[in-house]
This record gives sequence, structure tokens and C-alpha cells, in this order.
Amino acid sequence: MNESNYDAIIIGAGMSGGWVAKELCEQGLKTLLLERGPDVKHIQDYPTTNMQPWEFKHRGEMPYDVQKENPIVSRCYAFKEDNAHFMVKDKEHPYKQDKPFDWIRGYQVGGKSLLWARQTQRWSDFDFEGPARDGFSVDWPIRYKDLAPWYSKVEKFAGITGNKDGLETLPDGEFLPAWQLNCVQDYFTDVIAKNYKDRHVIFGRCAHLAEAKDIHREQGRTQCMKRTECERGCPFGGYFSSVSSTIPWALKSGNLTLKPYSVVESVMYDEESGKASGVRVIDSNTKEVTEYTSKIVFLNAGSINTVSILLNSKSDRFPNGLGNDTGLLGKYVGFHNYRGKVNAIHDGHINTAVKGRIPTGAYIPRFQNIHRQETDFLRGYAATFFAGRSKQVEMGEGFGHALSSQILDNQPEYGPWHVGSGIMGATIPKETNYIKLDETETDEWGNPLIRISMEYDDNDEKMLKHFFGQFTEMFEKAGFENITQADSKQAPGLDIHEMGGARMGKDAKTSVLNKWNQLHNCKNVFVTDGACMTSTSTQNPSLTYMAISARAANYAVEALKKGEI
Amino acid sequence: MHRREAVKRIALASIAAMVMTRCDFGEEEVTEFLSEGKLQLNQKHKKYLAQISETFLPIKGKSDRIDPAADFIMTMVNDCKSPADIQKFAVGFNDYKNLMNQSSLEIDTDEPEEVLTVVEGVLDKKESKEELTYFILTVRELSLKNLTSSAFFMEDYLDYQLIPSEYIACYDITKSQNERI
Ligand SMILES: Cc1cc2nc3c(=O)[nH]c(=O)nc-3n(C[C@H](O)[C@H](O)[C@H](O)COP(=O)(O)OP(=O)(O)OC[C@H]3O[C@@H](n4cnc5c(N)ncnc54)[C@H](O)[C@@H]3O)c2cc1C
Ligand code: SF4
Repeated sequence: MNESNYDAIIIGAGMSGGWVAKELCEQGLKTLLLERGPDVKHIQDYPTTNMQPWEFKHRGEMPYDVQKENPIVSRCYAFKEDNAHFMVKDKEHPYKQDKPFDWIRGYQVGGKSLLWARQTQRWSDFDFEGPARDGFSVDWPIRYKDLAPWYSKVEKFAGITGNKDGLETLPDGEFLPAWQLNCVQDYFTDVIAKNYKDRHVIFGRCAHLAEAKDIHREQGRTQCMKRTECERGCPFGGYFSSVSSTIPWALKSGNLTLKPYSVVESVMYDEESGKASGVRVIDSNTKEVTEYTSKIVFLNAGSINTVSILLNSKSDRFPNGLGNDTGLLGKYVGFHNYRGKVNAIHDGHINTAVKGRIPTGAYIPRFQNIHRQETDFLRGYAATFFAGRSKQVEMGEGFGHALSSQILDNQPEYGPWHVGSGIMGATIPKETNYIKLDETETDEWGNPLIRISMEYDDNDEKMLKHFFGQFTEMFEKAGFENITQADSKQAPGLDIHEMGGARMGKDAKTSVLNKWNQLHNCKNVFVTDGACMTSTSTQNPSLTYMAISARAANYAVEALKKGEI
Repeated sequence: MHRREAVKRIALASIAAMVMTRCDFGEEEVTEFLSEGKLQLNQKHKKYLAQISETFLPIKGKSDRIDPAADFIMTMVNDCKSPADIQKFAVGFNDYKNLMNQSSLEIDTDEPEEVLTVVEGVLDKKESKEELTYFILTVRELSLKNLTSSAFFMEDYLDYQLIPSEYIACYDITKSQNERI
């Protein structure tokens, strides 16, 4: 079957694909958005959203069989009874691990934007200039000033809550007023400010509507009610997801065709015009193959899937995958090092607690190797800072009335404050970290199984050691007690920030994409998800994917108008 | 059950335990509670399990916002335990029944103290059969979980609200009894 003729095709209806759809449709392009998973409609497809904790059959616990069949996704903190239906089960979508890699996915309209923890920070030039300075990886073809207006555009529309902190390492954005941090977070902020010139504890900027502006109400979203049950899908549209925001917006334009259950097998290449002509799609239910044609193609299937689709797009001109003249496609992938945690108890602030909840914590931007190389590792890490205190349910002793009266005759008391920080470390994308296609085995749809190989290196180990040392010292300065350091030794992947494989760069010999996210040698194909990332830095990456997507989509519209692509 | 009887039972339990641990308990012993590897309880069994749970953690009449414990225990054992642990639970259930000598599957609820003396005696004895101990501890743990995760406990004791009405970052807990988690 052959179906034509769209101006644009977008592969993947997740976080980045939603942004491309919005931008292209707003500007009048007839756009086809292809998604391999089922449709998810805002509110009506959030089956658990209004359930009380006691209404879950297993009170949140995942059944034994599910965990046994799906050991990978079961290791993800977010895989719970209330949102397991939004997460890919290992068994249904197998892949090969040349080195251990826990690949966490969400295959549905909305992708992982339904599930994310909504932490959003801009990159600064210290991040974009990292590779040029230390010589690992290639120089980014863009700088902060290229992306700044697009960050602003995304922030205003999505709704980002935060404070203007005035830090050179973490540029401020278009923020909705932040909620207050709690007493212990404030206290730690003061301790750190007094003891360290270069370290800051700030409110964790997040994609929540602390206040709904007209632009958000136009999307049908209202103020965040601070339920912190976001990963079920939010009936208020209090947090940003493609399902609550960009996709319905694009549909409203009348220019978007959304096709769920459409597994893109490859991008088709027309040897005569030297351009991509469209995509080949397999219906995930019937396995029927359809070809769709368009003037431009955007790949937004999530870094690893995007790379695999390009590798699978073979033609006479590109026998090793579309745009892969150099053999670089699938190489130089990276992730974030989330292995380390430092936890402690705080005995102070005993008469205070938090009433209610907020869906974010505190954030400590990177403070190492900013102006010069000062540690034995390259780049650096940021960290989270959590402080909380809850009423403790004593499980009592013994049996019978003695037991029930221990529990029911006393109101639970507050326990001590628990505090903790987690590392968010940059890794250096290396040639030896790769994504490839298996040569013999295929999945249920006949597409080659993906092989992944990523590992930590000496730089990561040194960074982790530094984190443990510094955060223990910082916690000691705050007088926290029972300080413990934990290395989860988790495999790469659980950070859920896989990046690279089709990196941007200035030179077609050393990179796959140019500064507008076009394949260097097939200019009507754009890659604007995490696959385009040249380096990883420390920030949560999705805000940058969204800004890059909006920027590239607007460039594509202009280039189409000018007949350049 | 009278105290003297109860004490006798403890002695019996430890003797039984010694015998039982050496004895190979086949499927036949537990088929009453097991079917295709899952706990299968008829109404009578369920009632018995409910009585055991109520004896371990008496909450009858406290609130209608607590789910029936036996249903919850059964669901959790069947869905969240490994096949080996389900088997262990079923064998332990059988041992418990034998220990209490309740062929009619009734507990004299007027005298739960005596039952608990037996139960605590089992837990105190190192040589008690693993399955029996596992059954007792699992029923206790899941009964507690059923209570503490109930609407009654979460709302009335932990002040849980799905949509918290407000957020106060630094709340003076000495000033009000009405804290929310
Ligand atoms: C639990 C969790 C917490 C997270 N927390 C944060 C955070 O705090 N901050 C942050 O920045 N990021 C966070 N992330 C990561 C964030 O969700 C991703 O970076 C983001 O969603 C990536 O956007 P994307 O468009 O590249 O991919 P996705 O959002 O995953 O969308 C890709 C879409 O493509 C579809 N697709 C894949 N293959 C094909 C194919 N062959 N054909 C058709 N469609 C296809 C998929 O089904 C999917 O819908 C988190 C993720 C998770 C799961
Ligand atoms: S915390 Fe906000 S965004 Fe999350 S579920 Fe609640 S209202 Fe929705």
C-alpha cells in the first residue's frame, strides 16, 4: 500500500516528536505523526489517575510473575502498579545486551513524556563547550545563544516552575513562580552558601504549572494540585506531557494525522533526487506494510530506536544505513551516571514538617571543572537534594489486642528528617559504546533486534568517588548524622537518559548531523531526539531535546519554503 | 481452649515440628489449600483464615473502610509470592490447622489468648517447622499491611489525601493536630 502525500512525517509521538508536530502543524504543514504504540488520550486514557492507594489490588506492589518475566523494567523505580501499563515489558520488546544495559521505554502516544520526573534545566555554554575544551567527542555546532530563544519558547508553552537563581552554570528561564523549599532544604542551602563559594542549592525546576497562564488554559490545562501521582497521567494537565499539551495542540490545527500502532521499519531513500522519500511502516497488529511519502522526515523515536531505524534504512547510496557514510552512526552513545547516593538523618528542625506535597525537590548544579580543569576526572556532576519527614507506622510487637492497640491507640509520630543526594554525572560518549543491529535475529515485526553496549569507565569511577567525598563533607558541615554512601552499581540505562549515536557536529567526517539536525548527507531528514546529542553534560536532557526539536522544525519550515530541501 | 491445654499443645507442636521437619510432606497433605500451585481457599477455609487474622490482629468493628483481611492475604500470597513461598504458606496453613486440632475449622474466639500462647510458643521454638513459622509471620505481616494501607488508617491516622488541600513548606507540628503527610 502506498499513502501520500504529506509535507512532513514524524516518527515517534513522545516528548520530542510532540514538539515537532506542534511546530510544523502551527505553520501549516500537513503532518503525519507515526507512533508504534497505542493512542493515549488526555484524561480518558489515564485509567488509574483517580484511584486511592488502597484501591490497588496489591497496594502498589508488582506481582511476582510480572517481575520475573520483566527483570529489566522491574529495576526502574517508576514501574509500579499504578503506571505499569505505560511501560514496555521486557518480554514484549526484546533486545540484546552486549554489555548490561537496562533500557526503559514507553511505547504509546506520549512516549516517556507521560512517565518522566519532569526535571528541567537549561544547558549553559560551560556544557556546550565541554568537548571542545577537553578534546573528548567533537565540538558542538551550536552554543547557548543558538538555543536560548527556543528554550524560552518551550518553557512558556510547557510551563516550567522555578526561581531565577542568576547562576552562570545554569541559565535562568521563563519561569512560573516556584514553590518554597522546606526548612531543611533551606537550612542546607544556607550551610552550603556559607561554606562554599561555588556551590548552590536551588529549587528543582520542573515542568509543572505552579500557576496556569492563558497559554496553558488554552491547552485545557490547569494549575498543578500537587498530588504527586503524575506518572499515572494528570487529570489537571498539571505537568507537561505530549498527551496533555503538544499533540492535542497540533491536532487542533487540523494539519495533523496521528497514526498509532504504526511501527516504522525504515526511512526510504530516493536515489534519483538524493532525498528521503518517506517511510515504510508495519501495522503493529496486522503486520500489513504501508509506505508513506513526504517532503521531510523527522526521527523522534527515542535515541536508541531512532538510531536503529536509520541503521535499518539501507539503500544503494547508503548500504550501512541512512546518512552513515562514516560508520559513526550508532557510535559515541552516552548516558548519565546515577549510581551514587549519600543519605543521612537530620536531628534538627524537630518541630517542623511539611504539610502537603510538591512534585520536585532541590537541585545542586554542577560545580566541578567549570572555569578550568581541577579534578582528576573530566566534566562533572550535578546532584539532587531531598529532605523529608513522614509519620512512622510502627509495626508493633506480638499478637492480639496488644498488637492492635499498639497501632490503633496511638497516633503515628513523625520520624526524623531523612536527607539524601543522588549523583547526576556526565559520561563521555565513546566509540566503544554503541548501538547496532543484530545480523540474524528479528523482532515480532521482522525488524532486526537492537544490540546495545554501554559501560562505565575510569572517568565515571573517579567522579563517583569525588561525589561521595564532597557530599559526605557537605553533609557533615550541615551536622547531618548517620551518613551513608551507596553505590547501586546499576547498569547504564536506568538513568533513562540515553543520548547520542547520531551526534551533531561541524564536520560531516566526524559527525552525523549538522547544526540544524539534518543528516549531513541527506538534508531532508532531521533527528531531534536524544540521538543528536554530542555530549551528555549533567542536566536532565528533555528540555534540551524539546528546544532543539522546536528550533529544527522551524528551520525545516523555512528551508522548505525556500526550496532548500 | 484452656491454658493447660494450650501449654500441652506447645509441647505437642515442638514434638510435631521435629517429626514434621523429617517428614516429606507431599502434595496430598496440602491439596486442600493448593490448586495448580496457587492457594485455593473455599468459603470455610477463608473464614478460618479470617479468624486467624482477626486473632492475630483484632480489628473487628473498627471501621468498614478496611478490606476483608482473608481476601487480601490470599491475593497477596497468590500474586506476589514465589511458587515456593505459596507452597510454603499452604503447607504452613495445613500445619497450623493440625496444630490447633480444629477439624471443624473453628476457633473458640472467646479464648484467643490461648491460641496466641500456642502461636508465640511456636515462634519461640527454634525447632519449629519452617512452613508453620512462615505461615504465622506472613498472616501477621499481611494483616498489618491490610490495616495500615486501608482507607481507614491512611485517612484517619496518616491524614492522607489524594489531592492535598494545601502545601506548607515549614509547618509547625506543635501547633496543630491536623497535619497532612
Ligand atoms: C521514569 C522516568 C523519569 C524521567 N525523568 C526525567 C526528568 O526528570 N527529566 C528529563 O529531562 N527526562 C526524564 N526522563 C526521560 C524523558 O522521558 C525522555 O528524555 C524523553 O521522553 C525522550 O523523548 P523522546 O521523544 O526522545 O522519546 P520518547 O518520549 O520515549 O518518545 C519516543 C516515541 O517513539 C515511539 N517509537 C519508537 N520506535 C518507533 C518506531 N519504530 N516507529 C514508530 N514509533 C516508534 C515510542 O513508542 C515513543 O512513543 C525520564 C524518563 C522516565 C521513564
Ligand atoms: S502533582 Fe500536579 S501534575 Fe502531578 S498529578 Fe498532581 S496535579 Fe497533576
